[in-house]
Amino acid sequence: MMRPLRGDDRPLRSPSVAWQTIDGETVLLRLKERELLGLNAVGRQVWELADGKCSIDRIVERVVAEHRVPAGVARADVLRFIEELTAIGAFDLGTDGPVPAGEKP
Amino acid sequence: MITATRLDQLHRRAYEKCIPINVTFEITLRCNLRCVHCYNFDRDLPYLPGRSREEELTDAEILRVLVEVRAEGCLFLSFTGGAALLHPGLEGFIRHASQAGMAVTVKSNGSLLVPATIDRIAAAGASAVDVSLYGSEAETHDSFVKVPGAFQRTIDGALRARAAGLRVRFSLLILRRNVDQIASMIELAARMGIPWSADPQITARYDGTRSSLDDRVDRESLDRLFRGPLRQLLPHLDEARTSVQCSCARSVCGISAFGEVYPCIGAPMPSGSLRRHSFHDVWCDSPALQWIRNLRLEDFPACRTCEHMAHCRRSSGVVYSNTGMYNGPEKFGEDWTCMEAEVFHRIHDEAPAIGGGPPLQGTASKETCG
Ligand code: SF4
Ligand code: SF4
Repeated sequence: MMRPLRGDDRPLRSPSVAWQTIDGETVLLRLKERELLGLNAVGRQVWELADGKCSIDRIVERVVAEHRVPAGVARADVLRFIEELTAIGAFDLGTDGPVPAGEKP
Repeated sequence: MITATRLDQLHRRAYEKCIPINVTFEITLRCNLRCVHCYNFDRDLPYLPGRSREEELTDAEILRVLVEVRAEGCLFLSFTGGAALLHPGLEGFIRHASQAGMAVTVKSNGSLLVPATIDRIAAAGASAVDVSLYGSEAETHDSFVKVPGAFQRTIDGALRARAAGLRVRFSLLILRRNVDQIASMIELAARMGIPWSADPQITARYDGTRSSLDDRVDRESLDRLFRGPLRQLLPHLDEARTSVQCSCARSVCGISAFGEVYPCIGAPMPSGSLRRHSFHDVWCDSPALQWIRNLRLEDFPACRTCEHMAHCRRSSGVVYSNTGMYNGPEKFGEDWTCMEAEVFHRIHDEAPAIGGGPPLQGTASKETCG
């Protein structure tokens, strides 16, 4: 079972997924399963931020700033999204190691 | 935030919006085999006449093109050749492409899939390998590629690649000399647990020579194959068909070893040089690509009134390579495709429900690659 997510987790897009934004929609392709998933605008933003350097807290802040949603709602949505994608192997989670210079954890 | 979506819908959207989600990149013409049907050039010659290896794109140019095709919408990227595995920079290209988010396939003749190479390309992020197979036994396959031992290396390589977690698929090329082995090739693939596709369409070469066509299967064999072992590949009958267009220049694109953009790797129509222009500029502004995108059924002189259209799986790439006319043939029967359509028509007439193959409007497949 997956451990609960923490605000300082830094999700990283897994190499088991290819992706592209096509005609305004971001799609993820699970390479082994040949399964295609579509993301809405918030999902797309989280996916793009998930570079293994940006913490969940920071991702939530960015979502709030860009989509003007209440912080509580944004956090719940972002956590659910990251949980779902982590469960299918599309995200790897990391908390260890130094946060790269200039990056807010 | 997540919705299920379908690959066929994605391809359709890319087709309609002209987004090159499928790019096949020929990164070198060098090869370790000398296949009789090779479409690059007559492999008894040292290289493509009039060109030299030194003219092939440099590593830096290839990396730049990868950035550009990605920005233009590429999702599915295939490296081909020649033998792509012979390119010393391949691992770096795969890593770059997969980190950028592309699904990377390496097309291979299989004989270079040795353990160290497989480990390197898998670690770099390749997800799939397409392996060409020309016979169910060494004698046939090796006589085809003119290198002894190639068959066993191909079989071993395919198994190893699969064991390393890569998706492996066999491309079975059907020619006169292996036509009696198709059933056993399919059995071999099934025993190995490897999915396969098969194609009897071959083309004239880039260098203009046509001896590659000498070995094409005849009408009688084709009829026998599609009533027998290839029955499941018989295309769906499409009586409502109103177009013979491929995905060329819309959702599909090819790039030559010299940086020339093609509407499809199977349709080597020079459409703009990536040495002189960005991929974006060629893709959007090339008169050749725009001409293709605007073709209508009435622009295909033989096809527009053809009684076999509902049964034909015409590929513009094949027709272009064989007749020099992208919207050919000029007259019915000038390309082998027409004979194939007649065969399919007869089989459909006898049993219209038969046909589980792909829809008729497909991409121009290239019969093989290293
Ligand atoms: S059979 Fe020949 S003429 Fe008829 S649609 Fe096919 S390619 Fe065109
Ligand atoms: S393996 Fe491919 S590139 Fe090499 S000779 Fe054969 S057909 Fe040509």
